Amino acid sequence: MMQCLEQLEEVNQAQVDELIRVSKEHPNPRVYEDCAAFSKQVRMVESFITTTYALTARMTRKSDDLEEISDAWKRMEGMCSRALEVLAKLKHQYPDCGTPELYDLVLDYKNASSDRHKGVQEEIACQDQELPDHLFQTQI
Amino acid sequence: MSGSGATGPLISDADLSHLAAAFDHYENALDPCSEIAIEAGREFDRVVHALYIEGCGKGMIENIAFETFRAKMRSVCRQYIRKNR
Repeated sequence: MMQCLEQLEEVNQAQVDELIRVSKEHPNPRVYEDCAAFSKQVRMVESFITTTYALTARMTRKSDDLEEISDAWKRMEGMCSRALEVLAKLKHQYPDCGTPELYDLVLDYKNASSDRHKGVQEEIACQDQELPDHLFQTQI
Repeated sequence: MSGSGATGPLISDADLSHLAAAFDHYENALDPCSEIAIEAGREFDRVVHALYIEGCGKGMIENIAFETFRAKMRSVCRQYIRKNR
């Protein structure tokens, strides 16, 4: 799982770098071609973040290792944070090319990743604490 | 929740199945912004809170903070999902 996520982090960085490059090459959002080129890259980043999140959710569901699950969500949160840093600047430069909407979506995904990371950390912190046996009809 | 007095277990098999399904739909949602995922998260929190209150009221949970109980229930649901997938 970690090798896969490392690769995805590299691709994420490449997608975000490409967003910066396209913004420099097409700096005027009022020019149709500039907005179209930028919007295309916005869709690429959106697709990457949503797909990577889904993959992370699927991989963590299959894992038995809480540390591994925690690390996966931390990495997902980091990928969202790196995209948000760039989008925070670009959403003002391209207010009508889907950028503010992408910013909001990535922020939602970052918060979701953060919630899951925090939840797993809490599980790890009380791993040694046992619940009374009599709480459950059937022991897991 | 059992609702059957202080003698029975706090968490029946049906409770656990329901709780694990809510946890799965929330925690492992492919789209965390979907209505189903958000509603499942609320349901998980609602049921865990209700179980904690009931357990404390019946004296079945002692010296366990709510945050700890919630974290343990998350782990129990993970195990349940793994076992039943």
